[in-house]
Amino acid sequence: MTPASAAERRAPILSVASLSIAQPAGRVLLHDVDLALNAGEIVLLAGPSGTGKSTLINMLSGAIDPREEGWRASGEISYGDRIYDLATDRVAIGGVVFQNFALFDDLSVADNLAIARDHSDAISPSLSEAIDRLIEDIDRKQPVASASGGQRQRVAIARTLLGNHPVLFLDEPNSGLDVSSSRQLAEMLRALVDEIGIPVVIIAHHFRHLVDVADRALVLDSNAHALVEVPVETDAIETALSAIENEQPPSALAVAAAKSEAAPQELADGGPLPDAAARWRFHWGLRYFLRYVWELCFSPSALLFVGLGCTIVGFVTTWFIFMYLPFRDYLLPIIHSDALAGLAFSELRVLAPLMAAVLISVRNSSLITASIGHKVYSDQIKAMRNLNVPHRIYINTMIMAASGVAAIFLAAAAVSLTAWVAMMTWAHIFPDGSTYMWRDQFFQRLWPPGEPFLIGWDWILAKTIPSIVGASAIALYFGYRPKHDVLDINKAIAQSLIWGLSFVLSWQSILTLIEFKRVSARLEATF
Amino acid sequence: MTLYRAAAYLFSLLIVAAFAASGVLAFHGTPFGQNENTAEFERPDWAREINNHVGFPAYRLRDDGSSVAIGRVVMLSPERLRVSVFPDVKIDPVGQSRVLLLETNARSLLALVPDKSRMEIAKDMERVARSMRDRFVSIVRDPAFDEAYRERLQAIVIDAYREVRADPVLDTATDRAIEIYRREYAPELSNSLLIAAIPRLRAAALEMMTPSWQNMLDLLVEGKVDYSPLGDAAADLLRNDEFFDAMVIHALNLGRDRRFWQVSVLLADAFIDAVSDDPRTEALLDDISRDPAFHNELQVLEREAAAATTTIFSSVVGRGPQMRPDALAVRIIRYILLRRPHVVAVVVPNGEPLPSGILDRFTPLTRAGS
Repeated sequence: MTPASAAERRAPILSVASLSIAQPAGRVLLHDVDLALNAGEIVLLAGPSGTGKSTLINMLSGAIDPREEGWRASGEISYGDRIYDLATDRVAIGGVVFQNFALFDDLSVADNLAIARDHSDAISPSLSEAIDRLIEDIDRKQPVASASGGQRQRVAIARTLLGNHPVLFLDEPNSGLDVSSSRQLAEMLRALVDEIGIPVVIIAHHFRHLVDVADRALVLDSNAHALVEVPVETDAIETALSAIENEQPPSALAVAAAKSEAAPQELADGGPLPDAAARWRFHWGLRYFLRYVWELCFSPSALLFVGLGCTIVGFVTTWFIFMYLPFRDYLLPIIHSDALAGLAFSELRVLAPLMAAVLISVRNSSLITASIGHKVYSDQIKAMRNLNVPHRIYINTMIMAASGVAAIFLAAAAVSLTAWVAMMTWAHIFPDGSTYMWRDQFFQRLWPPGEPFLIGWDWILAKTIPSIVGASAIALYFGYRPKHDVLDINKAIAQSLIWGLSFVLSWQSILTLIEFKRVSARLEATF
Repeated sequence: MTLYRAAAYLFSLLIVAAFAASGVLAFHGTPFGQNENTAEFERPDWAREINNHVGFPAYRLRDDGSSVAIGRVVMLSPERLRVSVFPDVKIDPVGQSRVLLLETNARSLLALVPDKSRMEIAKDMERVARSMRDRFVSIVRDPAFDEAYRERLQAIVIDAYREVRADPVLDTATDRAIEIYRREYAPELSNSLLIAAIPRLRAAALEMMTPSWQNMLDLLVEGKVDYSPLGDAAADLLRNDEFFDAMVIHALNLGRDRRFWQVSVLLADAFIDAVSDDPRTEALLDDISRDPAFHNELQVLEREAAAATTTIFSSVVGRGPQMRPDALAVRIIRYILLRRPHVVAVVVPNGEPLPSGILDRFTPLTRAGS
């Protein structure tokens, strides 16, 4: 993307022909629409709520992939000398500034910009300077949550520009702004567009202050499923919207249809279109992996969960066996050695892995679903797609990998701590006993001398890794389901907990039964 | 990095370190130096075939005879074994202690029984034996037994004896045992048992040999000899308490001798196997147990035997004033029942008296290289 010269202004750089979009449920939003966008112009797009304005820009920005989500789209996009089929190609011609900005709230301002820059082609120095000026008064080290609303909007615009798209879409940019801020925004956009020379499409319900800086105005006619161009005047737009709400035919609007003007013009070269295929960067992959490893495995709460759970297992089972044994005084000398060996099996091979898997699955499922649900609800996933950031690698793959690491580490930690707590409990019950004798008898069948590892470590991992990783996969599934409000996130968390826990318990039960069946003969031979 | 994040990292690091430390302590023990108390000994010949890669437990006996596990015995080679005391057990160097290696059999089990309990066991066994003797004599002298079972029993026993003697290995072992017996125990037998037994046996023999018309007729016509005077004499001897006491003491003395014990066990096993393998045995016992003539005798015998078994078991495995089962005794019984060759070691620190006199019968292991 390069700033357009004055001569190039108003020359069309892309056209959309015969665009039709239908929702997964079958409702038609647009039918056979043509649209041309000129360099350096600001186009105001208005329309009643729910008519598909946001869907239109999501489709043109690649945030919605018609191949995957049940959307049906057809039509062609002409950009330079290339033609893209919307029915089969995911084409990200537009960068989107979402209504809620969709900044990655787990990153700082600088990182929000860096991740966009690292996943796009190199931008021109002039665009870079324009972006710097746009956010020059913002502390880039601060978390995005710390920035003010206006600052966040400018960061979102800057981040989108770093995506180097031929078109910039802004979804309700002045929503929630007062009059003064709204005017400042309009002036800032005008100056920015004049400087960088790309077309900007603004979706707005409150267009009064944006009209002053807009070059064209389009109204989405939800009755005819068409885009209709109206004069760039507040009254004209309001009249058109009123007519649509009264279900009058488009001809009554007395305006020129966009379709009649756009088609015949020859396109100017707008530069290369961003590659629709997301490319992953190692350092970002590592960063996301480390972040999820920390959150899902090494954060204090995860470790404390496992620690407390295993303390309960080690203490209760040991204490119960040795203190509440019927005819304790007489039976204890008889069964002590075998009781310790049995305790080792039940504590280390069954209960500790189960406790770790249940606690970590529950904890991580809620975290993952809440995090992904929030990203879906706040359009961060769409923003990642729009910026060509491979969220499937950075989020899905890294969460699964981190869950695997968590399963291995926390299973080992659970086994270690449970054994130690069992030993200390035993030492408390038998203060004269040698802890080395405890070790001798506790591990007599589970880790006899000469064995390099705990016997059955493969069973422990076979139970723990699929449990925790599977629960994470379930949490991801529920996290990615569409979220229309906060209640949907809560519902998704509850569903992921229920299904994740059910999966963990089922998996552990089945494998434990198989394990018992397999090892019982061998264990009996050692008694 | 915020202070909060730094604190979280530090906290997590501490928890991970705690996990790691717990693992080391649980699986390995303290990593900080503790005195290693081990010593190598020569492995006795009889234990050369006994192997277990896990090793065998080593115990120390308290004053009341109860045991406490203090370490392990590991067989290093056919010639050597190593005794290791747990690092947190405070005891003199094991190399300077007496280490007894015990096979897990009934002999070792009895050897570990404290003197007081052993006396109780002897009394109980004697009481049971007296009861059994009385019941046995009563049954055997019953005309009903004579009429229906005596010949069947004799046939089973004689066939079993012949089967045992027919085995060349057992025959050799028997000869060896008899030789040992003649050489070392026969004088004791003559001094104690025979003095009481011979007058009565002589009278029985005379009675058997004294001709009568009926005896002559049986001998000449049917080739039968009347052994009943000998049977009556044996029954009378069994009823003689002085003779019985001497016999029990004589049997216990024989039982303490390892050589005789081994041969006896071998012979007893072979004899019992031969008797139990004989299909006539089951039928005979079944008939006797169902015979109304012996109902009362057998009921009394069963009740007394059950009571005595409980008491004797308690005396064999019980230790201390509460007579709580001892871990070592229980372990020996377990391996007897499992029929697995197993050993245990008893470490007696130098200077400490052997807790039980009978342990003198086990030879302490010899230090390797000494």
